[in-house]
Amino acid sequence: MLRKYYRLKSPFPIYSQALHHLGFDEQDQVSKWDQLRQVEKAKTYGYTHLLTIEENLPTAVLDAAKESNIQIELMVIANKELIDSDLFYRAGIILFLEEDQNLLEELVKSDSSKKFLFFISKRQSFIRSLKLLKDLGGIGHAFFPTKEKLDDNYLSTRQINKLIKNNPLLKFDPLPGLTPFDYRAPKDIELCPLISPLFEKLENKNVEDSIIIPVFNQREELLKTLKNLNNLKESGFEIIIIDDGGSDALYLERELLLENLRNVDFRFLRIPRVYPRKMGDGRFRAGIARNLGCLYARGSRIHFLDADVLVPENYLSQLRIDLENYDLVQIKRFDLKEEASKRIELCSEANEDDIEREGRDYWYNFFKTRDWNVLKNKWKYVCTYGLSCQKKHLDELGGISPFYLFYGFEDTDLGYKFHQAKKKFLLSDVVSYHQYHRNTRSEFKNSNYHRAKLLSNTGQIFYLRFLQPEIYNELIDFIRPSYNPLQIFKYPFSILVSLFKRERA
Amino acid sequence: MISVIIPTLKPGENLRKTLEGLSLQNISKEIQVIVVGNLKLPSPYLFNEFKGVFGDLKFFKTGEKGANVARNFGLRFSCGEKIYFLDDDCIIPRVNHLDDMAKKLDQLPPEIFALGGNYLLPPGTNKINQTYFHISNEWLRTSIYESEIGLSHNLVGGNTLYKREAFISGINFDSLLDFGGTETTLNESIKRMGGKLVLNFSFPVVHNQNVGLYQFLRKAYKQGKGKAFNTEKYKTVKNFAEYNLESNFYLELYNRFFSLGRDSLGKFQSSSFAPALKAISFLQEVTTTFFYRFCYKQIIEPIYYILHGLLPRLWLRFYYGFLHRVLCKIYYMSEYHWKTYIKPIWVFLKSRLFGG
Repeated sequence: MLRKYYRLKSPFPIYSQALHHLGFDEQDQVSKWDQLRQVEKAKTYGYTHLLTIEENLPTAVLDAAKESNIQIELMVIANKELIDSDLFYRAGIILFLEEDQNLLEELVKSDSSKKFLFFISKRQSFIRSLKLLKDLGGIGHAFFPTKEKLDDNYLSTRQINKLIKNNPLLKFDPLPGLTPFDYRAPKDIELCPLISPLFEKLENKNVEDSIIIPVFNQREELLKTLKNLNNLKESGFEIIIIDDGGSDALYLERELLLENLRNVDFRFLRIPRVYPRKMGDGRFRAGIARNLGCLYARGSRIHFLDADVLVPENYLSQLRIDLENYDLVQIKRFDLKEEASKRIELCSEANEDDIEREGRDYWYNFFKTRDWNVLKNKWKYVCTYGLSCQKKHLDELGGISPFYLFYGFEDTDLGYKFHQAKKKFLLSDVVSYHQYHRNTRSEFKNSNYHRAKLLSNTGQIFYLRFLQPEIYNELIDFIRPSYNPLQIFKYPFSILVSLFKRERA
Repeated sequence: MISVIIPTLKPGENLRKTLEGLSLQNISKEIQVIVVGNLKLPSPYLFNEFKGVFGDLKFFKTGEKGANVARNFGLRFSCGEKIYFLDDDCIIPRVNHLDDMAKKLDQLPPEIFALGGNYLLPPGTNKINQTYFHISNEWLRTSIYESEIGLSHNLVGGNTLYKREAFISGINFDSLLDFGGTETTLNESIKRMGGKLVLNFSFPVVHNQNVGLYQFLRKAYKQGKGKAFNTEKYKTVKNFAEYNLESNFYLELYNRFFSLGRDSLGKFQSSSFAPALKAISFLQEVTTTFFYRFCYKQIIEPIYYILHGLLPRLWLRFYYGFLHRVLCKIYYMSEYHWKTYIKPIWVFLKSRLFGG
């Protein structure tokens, strides 16, 4: 079983910006009740360890963790008083905020099995300490915080990459199991929500496949997709719909969904929103929604599907065959033109002429390839619009990472994890059609400038999670985009164009 | 354990009074109090003052306007089995208010998700507040459809205890709704999911509302807007309001026949006043029809639409403030002077012109 850390929120022992970056809250308001709730969350999402900075946890919390088989690991900030103290022996991880080689030497000598975590910023390079640790035979990990402003003390991704490149003998591994935390993430977002289904229809007991569909204000598109799924000839599958807190009243339309899904088992879940959603506000929760769907999936195979993808009749039968020999299977998806999207109800009605060709070369060239596994950096093509895999593999790899809250990369992250575990990829022959994407639906308002801005944020997080040079080389355009200054004018111009279009219609 | 969530727009003296009222509760050590300010964080002095009184005290800031955003924010950080929503201008009068409410909710059948109380008006309030209180109280009274337990369609937002089960499947307050009747969407959703609400008049809370004329009108406008929002939201949902459609129909019928009876004044009476009354009613009819036909579109509608455009943007206030400042500049006057010299003159003139 893979090690997975859940951060237990508690008051800071010493105030430090580093603790913020490690995902702890600077609150002296955390109570026993809050911590018990967090233990419950950790248990339902399959976390193995609780990471805490509080020396004396309440006994109720300790008991709750013990009951649910979760180990508690204490993280202590290194200082001179730590040597030969009781706290040092209780601690699992020792966090170094400042470079002090004498202290490091003494601590390693007294117990070499401890894990040392180095918080690396511009001022402290920690290269000498890491060399020393390597000579002494200790275990060390590096933690690079995300750079937020130009003038803060943290290293940019380019500098980090340079540092790693120049010191090939040193190991700058991230702490395994500890997902990086973006300090800019909104406070109201719950990464592991505890939610039970709003309504469900469970008649079939032998469910093999679970189709997981997250929705956000896409009522019409979803109804078309469900109509197509209702046409599948196979039985023994269920559909899990997750409403990502849309502002429409979809969650109240139980009768409508029951009408549309007569032959199929389904579950409907809803993740509430605290704030009204604005595009590009860092509250993009598709990964969280899919994880929640996986919690309630009964089938051994999991199929992620977008709410606006029309699938053919052989969708499940073909994927079942494909998943016997391969681990990660992705379907082909072609975009429909606007008028065709309105006309077409079933996937079989679509023709060659209805497909939009403009600006889709990246995906359409990929769909021409015969063997996905031969491609260089194959993980970058993994996308959750129509992705299938075994549930046990997902559980082993820790599911989808929930912290990509800006836009994108949660699927690429999953692909990279599958790639690291040496799983076999397959581009399936199933052809699906993507309904027309409205301008207002777009997270980046269909503007390349906004898209680049959002993707550079998430690209950084993705790189810091794995610290692999191949990711940096591949995603350099995303992480450090070269702006075309004229593109700034494109967004207001596109609004003008859309206004005129509406008038004509 | 009960979580008490208090949304506040302007945390100040009102909030202190509310917290003081809460601190006197007999189960104050077993409650978690979450105060959520919209644009302003409540002061740390207040936090230190009440820190030890409750089992847990949290202060937050949402950074955005809207009572529902604040309530949702509190809900996200709450961990009680029951959640109590209290407004920042309410004071709990009884010591065992929360305890009794929780016990009452436990006794009720399991499909009941919420128990609400009513508001009380403190003595010595003005006519505007009395009217507003009367309207909201009547609205509450008419929404009860089963008098034995007190099953109701609506509950007030500032004095309601919910079970955690009401929120466990992802329902919360609609964050887009910040006009009026903010809690209505949540109650509507709970009812549609098969839950029921109970209103009990034995759990009152003193509501220290102090609205002026402007706020009173704005409240009316905003509540109308909230109504429109709800009808728009549930437009696509089938069988909307199936439970109150029938009663609405009868209400409408009743109103029609009531107005028929009112208008037939004198028609079947044989008293000597009948001809005079007939003449009055005829005159009334003529004047109203004339008014509607010739004046309504020309006069009332334009004024209404101008106000409709101006009210939400506070232009009127802005113009008034601006003009006042300019006048003060011209006559070298402060606001003090305005009140002491100009106002008595105006009062004098008014009495001469309009006769007192």
